[in-house]
Amino acid sequence: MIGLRFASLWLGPVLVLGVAAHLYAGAPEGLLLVVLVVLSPCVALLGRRAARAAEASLVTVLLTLLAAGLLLCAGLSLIGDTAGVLGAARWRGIAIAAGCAFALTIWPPAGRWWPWLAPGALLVAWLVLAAVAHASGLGPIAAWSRVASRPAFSFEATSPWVRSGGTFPEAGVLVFAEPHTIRAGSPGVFGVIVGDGGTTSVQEWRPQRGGTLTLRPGDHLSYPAGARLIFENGKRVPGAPRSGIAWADPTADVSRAVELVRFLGLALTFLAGGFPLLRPSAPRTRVGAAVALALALAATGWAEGWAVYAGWAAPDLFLGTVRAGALVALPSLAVDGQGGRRLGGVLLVAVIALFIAGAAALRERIAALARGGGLGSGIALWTGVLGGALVASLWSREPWALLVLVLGFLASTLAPLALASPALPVRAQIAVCAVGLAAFAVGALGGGAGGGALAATLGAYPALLGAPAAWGALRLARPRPA
Amino acid sequence: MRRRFTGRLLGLVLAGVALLALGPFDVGAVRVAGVSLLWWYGGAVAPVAAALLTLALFAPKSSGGR
Repeated sequence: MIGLRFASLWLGPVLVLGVAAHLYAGAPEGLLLVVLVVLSPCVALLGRRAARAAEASLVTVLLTLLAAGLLLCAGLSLIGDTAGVLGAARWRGIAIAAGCAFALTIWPPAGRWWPWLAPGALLVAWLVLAAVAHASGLGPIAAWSRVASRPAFSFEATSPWVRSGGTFPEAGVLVFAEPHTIRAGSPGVFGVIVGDGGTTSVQEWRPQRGGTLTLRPGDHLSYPAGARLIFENGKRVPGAPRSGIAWADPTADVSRAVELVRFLGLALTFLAGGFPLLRPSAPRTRVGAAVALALALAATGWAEGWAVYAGWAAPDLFLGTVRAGALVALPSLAVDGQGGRRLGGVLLVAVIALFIAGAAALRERIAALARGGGLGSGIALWTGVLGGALVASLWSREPWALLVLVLGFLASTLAPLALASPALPVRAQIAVCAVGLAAFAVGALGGGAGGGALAATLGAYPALLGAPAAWGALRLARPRPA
Repeated sequence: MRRRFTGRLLGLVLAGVALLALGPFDVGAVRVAGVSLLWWYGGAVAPVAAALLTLALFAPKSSGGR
């Protein structure tokens, strides 16, 4: 059971669907993420157990609560996205998931069986994947080869974006790679950035319903949230990789040195950030470790399969920005008729179950912290954390960015403390967390504001600054032997 | 000693992905049985190898739950 609880904490829906989205988008770091999803629990299983803290620091409790709240917010935000993709109101998906999680986590008898939620959800997800594979008539290797040999990712005649059009839930920009005539499905205000022989000009397009516009290669179209557009059959999907080869063998849009820094940032964020999250729950027996790692392998295998079949059956999902939540639309695009829609609904249930399992594992962690800090059973704390996450998720729209932020934050604050031996006094703990957090904030804000690919990488993975700063502070703050 | 050795092995497993993705001559793009070497390694070999290495070198604790 400890192996299942450990896996539930790590294999949340944001992580699993996020990895699938990176692989589907043909991102260079997609396969690195697959390895990191398995490697992070490995590091937590093998890591040195820190000496028990002599004094529980209120700062570490607060930081853990904040991280838990952000993780819950990311999960709820993803479930809101998936509900929207399947035609339900975003808030309804969030409210159902949060309500189920709360009910299950405060109901004592559920403590015995909730650890089975994560393996059950993964089993259901695998069955849905098997149904999609059966409908495609291709095995996974053949599907990969077909995707990798596609000359282009184009709209098909059966695509809803071609037949009746689709609605963009959020504002964004489309980049066109070939001449493409689009039709407005509803009135709106669009911006067209036209590149013409080195000079660019911005024009406004205010179509009525049915109005058309022809865009040329290199043109950008910015659309508002709620815009409805109809695309041309047989044309390349804006935002998709150039071809199957570009998808299978992605090349970064930056230099190799910057890409290497990006890889380091991702590895540091996941390995160091996952450690304080996972280490306290790590199973102590080989059987428990095997169960946890088998589930991690099952989750990554599913993400790879889902990405490959989505590349084969659903090139529409490349449109604009690939969002993890949008991938639940795959069954409705790959399987004909009502069966596809039903499979999408079944997958949503599995996604909610994964979220609830993660929430229950976080609830146990918070209860343990509350007991250690003399804060009672922790129900009030848990209610506050889940309630805060529920409210925040109604506005949050970037579950993956939130997950990376939380792991980077943990890598820059609690990771050094989780390995500190002997345990640091409270003042030293506060100093280490403060230094790490300050450097993390500098990386996040400075990197985001600065220009250049390297600054952007630091902004995306601020643990590159925060974690080394916190480790440096730990070395200085460590008590010297007498 | 054992922990350090395992850590180095896992580091090598991770470095393999970076090498295939960013290394010279696009070695990761070589097709083996219809799938690129990068996908074989990053999608199958490296995760399974990391899990097996961890289990092989995992030292069970003397006390605690299952």
